[in-house]
Amino acid sequence: MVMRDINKSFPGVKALNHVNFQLDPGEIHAIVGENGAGKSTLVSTIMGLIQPDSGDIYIGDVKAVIDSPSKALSLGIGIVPQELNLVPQFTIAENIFLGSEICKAGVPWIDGKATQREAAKYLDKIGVKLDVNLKVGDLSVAYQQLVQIARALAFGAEILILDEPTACLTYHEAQILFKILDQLKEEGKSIVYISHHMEEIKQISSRVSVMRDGNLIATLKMSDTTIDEIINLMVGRAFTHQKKNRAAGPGGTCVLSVRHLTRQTEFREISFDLHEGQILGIAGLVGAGRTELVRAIFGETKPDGGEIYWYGSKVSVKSPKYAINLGIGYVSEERRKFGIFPISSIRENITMPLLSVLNRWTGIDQASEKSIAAQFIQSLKIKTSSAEKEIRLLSGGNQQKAILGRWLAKNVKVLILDEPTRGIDLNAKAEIHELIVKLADDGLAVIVISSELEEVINLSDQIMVMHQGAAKGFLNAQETTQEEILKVALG
Amino acid sequence: MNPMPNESGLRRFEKLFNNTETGIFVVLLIMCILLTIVSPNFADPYNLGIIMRQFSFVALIALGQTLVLISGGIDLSVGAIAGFSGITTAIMMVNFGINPYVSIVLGLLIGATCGTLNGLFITRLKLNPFIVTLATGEILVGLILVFTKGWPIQGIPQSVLFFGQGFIGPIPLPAVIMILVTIILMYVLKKTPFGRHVYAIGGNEAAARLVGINVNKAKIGVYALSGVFASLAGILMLLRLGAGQPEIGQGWLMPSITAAIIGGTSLMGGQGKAIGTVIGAALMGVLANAIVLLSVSAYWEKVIIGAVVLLAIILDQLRARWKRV
Repeated sequence: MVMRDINKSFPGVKALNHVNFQLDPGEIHAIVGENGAGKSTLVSTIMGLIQPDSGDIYIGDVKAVIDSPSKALSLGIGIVPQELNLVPQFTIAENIFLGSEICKAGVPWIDGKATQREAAKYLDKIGVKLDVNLKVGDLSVAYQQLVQIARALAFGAEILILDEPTACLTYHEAQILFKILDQLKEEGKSIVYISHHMEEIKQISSRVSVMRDGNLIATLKMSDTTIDEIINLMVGRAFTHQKKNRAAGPGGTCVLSVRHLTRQTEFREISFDLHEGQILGIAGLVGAGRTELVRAIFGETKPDGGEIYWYGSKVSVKSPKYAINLGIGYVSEERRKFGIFPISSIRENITMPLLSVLNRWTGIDQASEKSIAAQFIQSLKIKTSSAEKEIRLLSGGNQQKAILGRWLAKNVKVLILDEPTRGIDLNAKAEIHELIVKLADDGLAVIVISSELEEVINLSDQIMVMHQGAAKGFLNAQETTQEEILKVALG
Repeated sequence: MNPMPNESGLRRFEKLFNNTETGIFVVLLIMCILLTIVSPNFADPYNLGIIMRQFSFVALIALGQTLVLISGGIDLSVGAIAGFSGITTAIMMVNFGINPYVSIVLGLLIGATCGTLNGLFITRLKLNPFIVTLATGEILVGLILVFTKGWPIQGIPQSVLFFGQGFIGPIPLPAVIMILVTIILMYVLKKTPFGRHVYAIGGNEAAARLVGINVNKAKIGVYALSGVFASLAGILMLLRLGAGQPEIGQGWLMPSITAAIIGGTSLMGGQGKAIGTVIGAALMGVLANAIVLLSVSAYWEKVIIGAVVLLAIILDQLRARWKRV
């Protein structure tokens, strides 16, 4: 398979920029890059989930238009996604042939016997000994993944795409997977392997392509390169310190202290102090436990162990409501899912946590409410024709500003921002950065989670780097580099 | 200083017509005018009074249903709660000889209790509202039969019958009560934090929790209120009939949902207005009356109402699409 000069833009982002990618038969080709580098977009293009704005894809020597996932399947492209798409209530055999059911000759009756026989054949091919009549929901994630691979093969896949396949596997399970992939490679299948784990990539892939900011920077032979070189390519351009020395900084009163905070399978033994006027960055790869950690601090989930102190006194944050009453605000990474009330107005979105304050015996004080909304629309430069407009009609950046306004109106002491500028155009992004720094200068304590290393370094005073649920290190943002963070984050 | 330009008169006019309830109201008005022309009996104050009384009961439970639908849930037990409250109130008055006014209050409390139980099952045990209210509704209908053995309860004290049968001027008392409840609910939805929270939960429940709304408490309140409105309708029907008919509340469920939807309430939650629901109920009431006045076979009533619902939601969809462009 060859991809030539692929371009894809989303509003405000160039997701793929003149990408050329070649996949040879019988190779395992790794794709690496930071979060948001364009790996998923590239894969979605191959899978027919999104159409490139320009560029061609060739399968063999034939130009292919992959306009739907079923087209991709018929071209022999199979995927093992991060979130497995199997039906847990169905058996292994039924899942393998879901969508290409084996029927009795001439009638639309599923031939159960043949399905089981054929399914067993494909499992056997990848060396898995399992009863095909087991329900997929009863299998471990590792086995479900193998079922997914068998399913791709049953569809006649010549090209197999694996997206972070080892994220949920133990070391031993991963080794079994690698053996199977090796065997498939020997049979002449082509495998695209997406992973954050450098050691794995080094172990199994023959070539590696590095992506950054929508560009495919380089394709290297694994035998000719080193992990350090790959990381340097991932980070890219020499990093320029645009950081201003902020007047306020750590040294203010300690607002929030976290000690040995642990939640099974999510994060463990996390400790840090957050002072007034301080910006603490949390870096780490997707799945490192960053979001899980702040959700627990905000009372959305319950930690199994450890303590949280608020201005020195121990608190048990049992609900978001409790956290908000303490003075903590949380801006989720998923704005649509956890942030906005889409069909409510901008005004209502801003004042939602304030209603108890605005309530009089005659009901909500609508005059004050309107003036508060107007005040934040103006000071945060939210671009809208009216405060009464439904918030879903605004751009992502303006929605995000409104959500920030919500917590500023509530006058919180600690603001937790999870990927505050994801999917936001550059202009609004700069405005939000400026705002965060200004708020910290005014004494607000801020936690910023970001997958963009540049963002973390530029905004933070101190950076906590997480890896697989643990805090691997605290770095001084003034002195650290993207390379250093990435090395810690990769474990 | 206000950064936004003031809305001009034209924009206000446009906004008015962008509301579902205004559109439905216009349809209702046109229907009334046509009926007045075709059938002189329609505009007779007595006939109008009858129509109002007829749709008042459905409007009352539809108001509770609207509240539940806005919160993103559904209450299939409204008809059953209406019947159960009506029957237990009748039993308290007749069989236990409790003061009729006290009985009415206790009847309303029974409705509130049923609703609260619905809410507790849905929030604490995280059960699906559709299934919970389907089951509690069945139980209550069954209990009505257990209590009455299918026989009506006769001998409701004359002193309280005027609540169901009386008039204030030309307007029947149940309609007056329904209008009062509508005004209160409009106020609650628009002006109180509780009302705002209900919209927020229906619009995005996960986000509602993250801005500190006590989602469970609000939801329990929603179902409790739906229970109160249903029992009010049931008790008024009891006093209107003057006898505890075991059939009270039967066939009220679907019209309660229909009225809300015609009036612009979204089944997806987050959207809806009390006034829209009342107009929706009125529309159905006028239709039913028109069928009688125009001597159309009563068997056609459901066909016509079904067609009207389809038409209403199609028109609303078109209007929404037109607005988006």
